[in-house]
Amino acid sequence: MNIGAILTLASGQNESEASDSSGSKQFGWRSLGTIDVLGASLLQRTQRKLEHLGSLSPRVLTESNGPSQFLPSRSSRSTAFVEEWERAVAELVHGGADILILGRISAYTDIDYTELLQYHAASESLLTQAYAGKESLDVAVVSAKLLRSANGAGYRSTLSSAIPQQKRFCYSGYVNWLRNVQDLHTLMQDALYQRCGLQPVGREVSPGVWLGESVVLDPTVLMSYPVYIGARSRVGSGCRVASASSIERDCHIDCGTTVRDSLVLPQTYIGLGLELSRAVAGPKVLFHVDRNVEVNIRDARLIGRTSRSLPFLSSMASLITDRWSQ
Amino acid sequence: MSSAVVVKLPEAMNAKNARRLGRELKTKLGGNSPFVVLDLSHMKSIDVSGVEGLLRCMSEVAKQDGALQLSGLSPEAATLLELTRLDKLMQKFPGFSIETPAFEMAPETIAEEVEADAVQLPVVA
Repeated sequence: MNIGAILTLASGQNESEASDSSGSKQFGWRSLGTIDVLGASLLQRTQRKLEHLGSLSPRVLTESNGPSQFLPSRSSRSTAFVEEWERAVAELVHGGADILILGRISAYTDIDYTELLQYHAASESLLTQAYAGKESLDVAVVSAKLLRSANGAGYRSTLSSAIPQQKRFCYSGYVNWLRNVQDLHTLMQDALYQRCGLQPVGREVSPGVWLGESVVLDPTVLMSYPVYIGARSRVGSGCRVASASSIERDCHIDCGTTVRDSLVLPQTYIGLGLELSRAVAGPKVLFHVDRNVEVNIRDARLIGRTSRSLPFLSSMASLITDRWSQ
Repeated sequence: MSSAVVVKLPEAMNAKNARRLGRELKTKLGGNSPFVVLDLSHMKSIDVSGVEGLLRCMSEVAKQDGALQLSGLSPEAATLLELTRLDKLMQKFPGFSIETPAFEMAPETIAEEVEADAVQLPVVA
């Protein structure tokens, strides 16, 4: 069976989903679905799951304005995104796909796509959507024969007509709706405490401590598990990483800083002697989870972006350390 | 009658405002054991120079055996103080109660001296 997949993603400034009273679905103008959590983003993890299923490499469509739609309705305006979506569906249908998986990068779930496909096949449905309770998980399986009957009507029109007859796949596992930055922080901690299936990208060097490749840790660093430190990140002397924290790839935590109960996003520099607590920090931006406030940090000596030469510096640091230890 | 100095920090606590704070405090903190209130209700950003400025402010108050407390702590200011660990340093100072009359400040002024009707220091057992 040939499986094709289309994933849609909202990125850039999104007025309809931008900050509301419970926080923003974006952080520093990035969609939460593209932000790394324990070494890979929701988008990357979904792509890998689908490829593991035997699907062709999923097409990723980005909607720059308004919420992304994984099933554009027949009444949707014909925007560049909708046209691109129609073209992507056409390519898959004409390319011989038997099944299409259409999804929107929004919530994190431990959904088993094999189970979903089996349900779709067993129910002999043309359209199956996954739900958690009454809420849609923004994942649908469509039989290509439904779309082949479109006959120039437009695929979104064909899909819209099939929605009333759709079958519902009821999912009862872990869901994190990723509606705001607090949800992202919660997902990180749920993963570290193994409350969901999200696996860190790296090696578990001791119980509850995962390290990515080429991490540079000063010998004086104190860590309290569970902790994740991403690839090529550097943690300086006298630092402390504690209470379910994640430092993503290519970061630099400078000397004497404490990271507690926090998520440090990729390529972030955290300055000397600072205290990061209950926060999500990115290059030049800091979000406090409990105060629900996002602060722009203008001084790169406090929180900034790591240098592009960091991988080279990390390699040199490792080389020097190895030479000294011989 | 004891008086307190209310320091309304600007939105951006940077090198320029840190220097201004230092100059203002030198003129305002004349007596022994000054009482200083840092009003952070407008502060939205701080850089390393701003941190140094606040540290100098605290150092000056401490040298004169004074008391320091915060008021109008916005969520942004609280987050920045926590990040830079200034919150823990400020907690070392004894607090005090003060009733300040409402007043309008000229935007250029950082520090203003306020006559207090009652100033009470916490009783230390």
